[in-house]
Amino acid sequence: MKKIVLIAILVLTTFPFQANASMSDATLEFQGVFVNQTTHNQLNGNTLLNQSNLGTLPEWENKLYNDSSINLTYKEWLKLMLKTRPTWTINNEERGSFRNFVDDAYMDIKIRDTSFLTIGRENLQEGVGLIYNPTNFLSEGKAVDYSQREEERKKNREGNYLLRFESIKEKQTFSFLIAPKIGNLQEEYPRQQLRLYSLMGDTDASLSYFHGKQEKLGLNLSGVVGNNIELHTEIALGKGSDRRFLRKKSEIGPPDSGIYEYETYDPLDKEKTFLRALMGGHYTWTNKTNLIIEYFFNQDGYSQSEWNEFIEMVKDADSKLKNPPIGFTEGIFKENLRLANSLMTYRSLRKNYFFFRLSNPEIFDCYDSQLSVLLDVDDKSCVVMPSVDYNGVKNIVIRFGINWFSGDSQSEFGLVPQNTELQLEARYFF
Amino acid sequence: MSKVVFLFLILITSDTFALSSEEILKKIDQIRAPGDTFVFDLKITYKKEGKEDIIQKFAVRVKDADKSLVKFTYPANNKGRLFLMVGNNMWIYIPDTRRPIRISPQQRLLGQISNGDVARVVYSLDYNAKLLEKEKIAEREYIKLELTAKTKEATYSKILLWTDTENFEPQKAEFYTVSGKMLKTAFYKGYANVLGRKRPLIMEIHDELCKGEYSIIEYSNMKVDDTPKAFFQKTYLKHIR
Repeated sequence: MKKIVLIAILVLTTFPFQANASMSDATLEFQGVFVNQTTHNQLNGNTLLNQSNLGTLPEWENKLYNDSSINLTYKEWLKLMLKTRPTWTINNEERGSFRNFVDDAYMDIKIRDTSFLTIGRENLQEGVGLIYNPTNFLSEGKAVDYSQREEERKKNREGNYLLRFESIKEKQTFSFLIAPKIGNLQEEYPRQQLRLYSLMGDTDASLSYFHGKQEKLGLNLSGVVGNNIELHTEIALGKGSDRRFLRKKSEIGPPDSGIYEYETYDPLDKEKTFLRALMGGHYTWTNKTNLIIEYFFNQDGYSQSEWNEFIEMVKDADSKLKNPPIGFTEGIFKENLRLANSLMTYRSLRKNYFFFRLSNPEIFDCYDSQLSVLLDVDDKSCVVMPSVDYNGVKNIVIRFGINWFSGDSQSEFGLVPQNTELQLEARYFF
Repeated sequence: MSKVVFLFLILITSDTFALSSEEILKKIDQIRAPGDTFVFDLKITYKKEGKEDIIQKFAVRVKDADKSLVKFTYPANNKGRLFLMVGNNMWIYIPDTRRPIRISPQQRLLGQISNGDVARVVYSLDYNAKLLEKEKIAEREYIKLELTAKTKEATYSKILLWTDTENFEPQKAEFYTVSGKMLKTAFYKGYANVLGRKRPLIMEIHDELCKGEYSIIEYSNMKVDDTPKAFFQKTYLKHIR
């Protein structure tokens, strides 16, 4: 079946790459991009979490996908939107796998001149930050592909099934949505969101109230200062923690053996309120060079004492895996490390982060370059991400990028299972 | 009585009855834009010696002079993008992201063209005018105006504008940064009768920082056509068909 789908997609995409069929009242637009991305991970078998390459990451991976969207409008009052990403992945450890991601499949109906009803699956991208969007409550829990650039991570993300009403007035917009639980299609707790947007003077302001498993409040502000500085802030207050912790479940072997089986657990901070906030800005030079700086605070991140506790347990499992005590096999320690690995939500583990991105487009007319750095302020580890795009051939972009992880052995980015990630990507736009 | 007539003649021939700098600027704007609410198509060609031309096309809707909605129509990978400018606020909407992003009018769009060059057709909204000495170019006398930005958000800090002494048709403009550096020079060309008067349908913009590079803006399909108010809302962009 998967093969048939794959063949059908390839056949479809060999048709003229741009269809723009206009009947008297309907317009059909079809556009997208083919991407082939090859990633090589220079694995680090010496990290505390990845002793002798525990297999958490393949050495190389190739991903071929088609990101396409179909937009059908009828008589101004109806818009049908479909955005899919059929993706074929193969790596050095397993046979190829195929999956079709549906980011959008919705109907947008104009009820009156300024009121709209949206029904279907929609990848809502809310918030003003680039590196984090703490107020994008509906996207929480959705898989993010960190091999993509910050903007792409948001647009290439599966949407939620929802029903949304939006009313647009002169300077205010009100919206209300419900995202119900729908059997296997949408297993999340039923969610509702109320949002009010207003242009206050020259500042965009939006306030949202979210009700799901937990209640949350969000505030977004953005504005321009002078003619080349943009400033923005995004603040979310929500009840309950998203974190899980590692703890010793039970001692195994003879009493006082000091050998434990680990487990992960939810700290049950259901009534505690957590703050997540981002503030930042863009500065753009006249030659289009753009600097983005953002600071993100995540109150729900590991504190220093919690982190130390976690590291101590990881160190213990690591040393016992290297030299298993007599009478014990590696299995239990590998499993303990696997559990520790499962908690590693890299890029949002700790409380304070700083993001910096400098991009310089149109170097020698056909190169775009970019340098991004994400710094974990709490442990001074970082990931440095330089990349260069070549766009000298019409409709084609070739990208080469590196993700270089740096930090001591007990820091967030010092624990990742690879030293460096090399990426070569070719894109064909149609 | 003859003294009164003489004095009257002096008055009507003196500068007292000449147009003020702001009035001249308004006249120039009336030539460039057929009113406060209208639509037009725009094509930008970026030219550089030894390189293939880069072309982008747009459909622009203007309302109440200070609101513009710019739709990218070409090339394919930019199709569906929108610019919205309301007063000094500017956003770009990229269909995939479905989230309008704040940008500044000064940011470059293509070649020598800034976002503000596309979204704003008139000068009097953003600039105060001061009349300078008349200047002769190629044996012809022109009115020279100095335009200074009313706000920090304006696309340029200063513009020098040369315009015809009789019909106020703009001929040339120089654009400057806050530091006083000249960024580019524009020439207004391709005058043709559109909506009842002669208007420049071509603007050629030469880069003063990268000599030899220039861009051509071509205006077409200019029509007086109203656009619903709601279109000029940031939140409306994702609903535009």
